[in-house]
Amino acid sequence: MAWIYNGQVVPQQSSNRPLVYDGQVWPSFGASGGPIQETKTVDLDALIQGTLSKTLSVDALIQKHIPVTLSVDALLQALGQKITELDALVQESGLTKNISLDALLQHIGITTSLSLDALIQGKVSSVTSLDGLISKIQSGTLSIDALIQKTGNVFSLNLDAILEAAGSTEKFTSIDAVLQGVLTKQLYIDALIQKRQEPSLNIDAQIQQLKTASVQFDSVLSKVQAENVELDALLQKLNQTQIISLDAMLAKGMVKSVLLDAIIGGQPTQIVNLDALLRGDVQKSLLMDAIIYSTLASASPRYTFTMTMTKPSFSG
Amino acid sequence: MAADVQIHEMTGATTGVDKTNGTVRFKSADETTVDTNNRLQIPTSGTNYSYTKQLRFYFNTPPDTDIQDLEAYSDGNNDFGDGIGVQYDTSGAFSANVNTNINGTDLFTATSSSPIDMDANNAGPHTGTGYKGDFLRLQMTVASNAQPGTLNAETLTFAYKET
Repeated sequence: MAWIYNGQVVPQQSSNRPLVYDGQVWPSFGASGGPIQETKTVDLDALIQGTLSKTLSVDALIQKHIPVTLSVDALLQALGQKITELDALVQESGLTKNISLDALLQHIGITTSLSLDALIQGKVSSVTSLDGLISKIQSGTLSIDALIQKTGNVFSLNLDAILEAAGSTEKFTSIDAVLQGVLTKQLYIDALIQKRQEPSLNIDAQIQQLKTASVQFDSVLSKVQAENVELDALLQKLNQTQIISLDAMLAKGMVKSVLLDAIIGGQPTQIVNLDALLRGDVQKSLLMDAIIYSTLASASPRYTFTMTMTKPSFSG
Repeated sequence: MAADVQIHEMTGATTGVDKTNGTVRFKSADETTVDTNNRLQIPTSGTNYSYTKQLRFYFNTPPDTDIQDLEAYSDGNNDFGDGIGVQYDTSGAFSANVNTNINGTDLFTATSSSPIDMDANNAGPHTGTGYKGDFLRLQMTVASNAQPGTLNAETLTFAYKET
């Protein structure tokens, strides 16, 4: 469209700024009829650089996306939520989703012939105890069943198998054997008690002494503690009740053929005599006659038979 | 005769590089060259900030009478992509370029119907030659969800009224 001004055609122009034509200033044709609107442009751009590293480790990826303190449940949940990132990682690493465990191990530089033991040694070589191992690879509250499941064993795994799996070189057959394996064969009961923090008790020495037939009762008493120890105290030491009979006591610790003299001789007090012993065991007022009478009190009654002789008569 | 008006990328209060109808490239270095060096890095988290760019009107030749109403505006649509933005502020004086957050206004909120006032501090009408009006400071922001590559250019338009 041509502009007409004072009957003349205004020359076409690319911009409608004022111009001079034939010595006259043509009026401006801005939108408002005033100053001309002009524009200039500038392009804005940038180069954006991302960082993708194929050497990113799984640990680093997990640390990046999942807090370290997550529980196992939360971890599984988070892994489910981050499945797209993990898929991307797998793709970046040149793996396929259905790669086998062996292939994965090969891919990350572990030979398939590596045994579980070797793997554990490789990863947790600094851990020596089973507890330490468990705490290293799992939380302390992990149950044995869960551990067995983790290590790929079955629930029917028996104790022997567990012990063997734990690294024992000997297959224990009994609890004693286990104890011997754990402790030492020469370990005495008192040592065991000492291990249980009762060092003052010396039971095994007493038992050893009691097993010897020639042992003297006073020596037993002296072994137990002091010579003036009381019988009650001894019984208590032996964990017996006070009403136990002498036979029973002897049967517990000594031979039954022990002589009374030996017993008497074994008394802590050397001046003891039979009377004193009797007085000690029987009522003091008891007389020897009474003792004898008491043993005859059950004698059978005596019966009297009378025979009458009659001379026979003869007739003839 | 109409004035020769240019848009300069400023390197100082009174020094700059002519970018009229050219390209201003946001970079991780304080320089005006448009090349592939000093690319902006996508952060693993948070936001990375480019060095600021400061643009200003420059009258290479003077207007017949004067120039007024210096403005700048975008098309209102951010086509840079996810995680990438441009923020701005204006000032009457030059300040050293920085790559820390300037906490500016989203550039794409400035449109032809609501342009940025480029002579609010250094008011018109402007005559003669040299740098005129205010400094428009721009900064690109890159978040972790941005995608790598060369961004398609967004056009920033500078408008003025000449008499």
